Amino acid sequence: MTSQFEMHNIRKTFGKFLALSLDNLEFDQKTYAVILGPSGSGKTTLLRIAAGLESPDTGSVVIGGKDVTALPSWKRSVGLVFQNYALYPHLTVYENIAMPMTVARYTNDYIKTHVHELLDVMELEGQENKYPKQLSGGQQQRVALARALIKKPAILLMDEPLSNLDARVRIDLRDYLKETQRKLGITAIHVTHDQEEAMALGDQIVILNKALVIQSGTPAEIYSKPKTLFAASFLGGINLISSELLPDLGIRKDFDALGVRIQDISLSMEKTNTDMIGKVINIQYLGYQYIVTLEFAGTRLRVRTDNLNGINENSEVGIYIDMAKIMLFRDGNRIPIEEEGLESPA
Amino acid sequence: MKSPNKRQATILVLPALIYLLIFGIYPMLQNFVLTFQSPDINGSIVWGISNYINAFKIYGLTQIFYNTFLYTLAVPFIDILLAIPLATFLKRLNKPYLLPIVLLSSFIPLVTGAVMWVFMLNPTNGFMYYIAKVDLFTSPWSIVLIDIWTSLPLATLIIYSGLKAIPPHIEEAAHMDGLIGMRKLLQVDLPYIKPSLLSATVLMVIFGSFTFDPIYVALSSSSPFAIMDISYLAYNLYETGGIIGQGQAAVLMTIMTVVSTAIAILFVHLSLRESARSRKIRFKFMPNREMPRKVAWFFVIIYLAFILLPFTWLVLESFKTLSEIISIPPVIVPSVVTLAGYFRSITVGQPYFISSLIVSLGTSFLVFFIGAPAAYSISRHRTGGLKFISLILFVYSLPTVIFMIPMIGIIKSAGLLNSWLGLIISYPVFVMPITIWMLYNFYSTFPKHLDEAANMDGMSVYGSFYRVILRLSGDGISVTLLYAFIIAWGALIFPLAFAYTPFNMNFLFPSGAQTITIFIGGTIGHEAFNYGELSAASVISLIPSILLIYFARKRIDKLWRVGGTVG
Repeated sequence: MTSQFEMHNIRKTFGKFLALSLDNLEFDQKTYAVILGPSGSGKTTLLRIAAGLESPDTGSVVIGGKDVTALPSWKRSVGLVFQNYALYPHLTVYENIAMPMTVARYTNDYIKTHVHELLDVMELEGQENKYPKQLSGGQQQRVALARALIKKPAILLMDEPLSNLDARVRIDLRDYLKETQRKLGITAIHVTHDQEEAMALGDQIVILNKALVIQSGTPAEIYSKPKTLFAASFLGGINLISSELLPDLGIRKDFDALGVRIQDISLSMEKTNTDMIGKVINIQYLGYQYIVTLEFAGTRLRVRTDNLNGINENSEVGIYIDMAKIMLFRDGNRIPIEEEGLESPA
Repeated sequence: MKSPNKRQATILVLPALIYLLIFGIYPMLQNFVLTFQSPDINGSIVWGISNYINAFKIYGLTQIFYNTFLYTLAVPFIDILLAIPLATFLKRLNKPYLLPIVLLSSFIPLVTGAVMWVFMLNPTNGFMYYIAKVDLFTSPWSIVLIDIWTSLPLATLIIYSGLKAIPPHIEEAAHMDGLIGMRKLLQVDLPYIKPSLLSATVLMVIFGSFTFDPIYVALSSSSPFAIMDISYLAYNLYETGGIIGQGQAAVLMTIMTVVSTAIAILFVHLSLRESARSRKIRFKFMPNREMPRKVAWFFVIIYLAFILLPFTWLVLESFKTLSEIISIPPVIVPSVVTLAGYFRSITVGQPYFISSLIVSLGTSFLVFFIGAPAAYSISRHRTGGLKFISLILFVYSLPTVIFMIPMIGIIKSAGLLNSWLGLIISYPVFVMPITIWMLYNFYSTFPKHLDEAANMDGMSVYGSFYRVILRLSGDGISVTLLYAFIIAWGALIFPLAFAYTPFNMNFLFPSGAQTITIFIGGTIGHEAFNYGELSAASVISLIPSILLIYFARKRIDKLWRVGGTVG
């Protein structure tokens, strides 16, 4: 596979504030890449540099094997979907979608064919003469998507494309985005702060924090093998327990925190180990499973289970941690469970 | 039943409403009644339509109508044509110090501006000598020139504010689409700021059709019918025509009211209309690249020269000795700098300055006490809905001169003719609408949760206004008040009509209220040897305007920002 999008040695500061610093980032053709990070992590800066809306202090952007760092946005073969759609309020759906081509001076017939092709893909046929404010949020988002795709860019960039939509539409559009990306065989870069969205969509996820790349990999890699405490906790669904609060588990002692995913703990009314007993505080029923919150060793644990097996609020329950799946962290980085692997942490 | 909040919000609006009904709407109706009254041979009033017949027999009426139409149409047309490029250049160059300089000529007393031009365009003693030795004041285009000079900055400000308010994501979307320079201006920017363009146009139409001050000043150096318009004719008929003139003046004022109302309705109609599929032009022939900054600078410098030249000439004039003022060819830079003009203008002009200062301060405070609560109430509590804000805009769109005759009756019956108080209570009719409008816009940007929090904390509407909102609106109110002060400071028609002597310099028993605008505008041309004193007084009259622009320079484009459907 050839890499379709590359960034090398990018550094961007705003005044004294370091917004982004990355050594190397590559995405293959037809990849759905997700940039994930909290606000202020530099993810939007990354996207804007890719789009050509910001120029980096140093470094280069390569698209389809061509260095585009010095090129303006419209010569880069990128399409951008804005967080708030950024549709022109005074133009119709058709005119909004056609705009990039009108500017590039294609003939009217050519434009018409292509716009209608996209209207069809985006299920917007019949809406072409409406104005943006006459459309629903989801429809506006699809118009923005169509406008970004009309020039058949090599890269589709999306800045929090789903964050302005309500929860149900968001899930629908999620499927839709991935299907569209697959159908058109395009490379997509999607920026979000929502880890669930990232996991659901990404072929590749890049986690950013404080202007730095924390980890990059497939969702499964990142979920099961987070390299840092931040990566583990940002993906969510994890219990972090300070080593001082833990009873002896028969493992090394030189870690700060132990992490265990909420599905890697099981509960039982049988208490075989007197050190591992917790008191149930709260049970959330989610329809297909339960989230049980319990008090344990002066902290709180959350456990996901399909079956309560007679556990009630206020029950004293035995806690069974799947020791094969625990993660240990020291100074914010992951360390191996066995002592001998110490020389190569993270 | 109304909630107590609603009732309190209504009470906040009442003073402004009552004021506008008495001083705005009543005079308008009273004018209409007056048009049917005329005296018979014995001097007693008879009812009929003779005023209408006689008004249309006034000598030179054709020229006067022509002039009025010229001012009403040419001024806005040329203004907008010039303001769009200027606003674009200012945005392109993005130099914060440029806007305040450009704005100068819109924020000074109209009379002072007109005086500058009369000095400048004097073909023997003015700068005009070096351009072409012709007297421009034989043609109404001289007034068009002064009007444009005065109003162009305001039109530019409104358009510039609109351009600055285009959201960054739209700018970036255009950038992604490859739209830049002229094509972006025509395809994205101008359609986007349509409301601003519309309100700038309407304001300029209103401004052009009311033209009064430059005519008053320039008449000293012009033949009357060359430049006079209906506004001025109405004033003139009233001033010189006694009771017969009054009836005919009322006819003209009623006509003006009807025309302004039509403009105002057209304006509201246009701005409320959904953007019906407008004709889409393909701008393929337009260059699609940014204008080089050097070219933008070149044009901005030309604009600046146009705006600043009259100021420069006036300041130079104010330091000249008498012999250099009247020398032919005119001296540009004075060889001897004298402050005699300033000393004389301060001594002779003292009573006028004092009156203007007191009246303007009084008006500002009155406007603040009546206007600020009303603006807050209609903005936050939607008191009166669209009706109240429409009333404000309607009164704003009426020519000041039409309030004159009925208001004299009101002021006379209160025994306040030729007094400061008479002017202070009458000025708000033309100061308050714009003030309320500005504060209305200011308060609509205020976070709503502040009132809600105050309400939860047990404060009433009054409480939350006086204890929370007012404390936080310092910057909006100070700029608005300063602007109110400047409008009052530059007022001409009312002091001409309601005051006839200068202040008697007796603070215990004050009488007389002629203002600095009368001192400047009324004496020019009559006593030629006073030019040094006049120009010095004119320079002094600029001080409040310069202060306003200085204090408001950072947020000036936000206060004039117009949005949504009206204004």
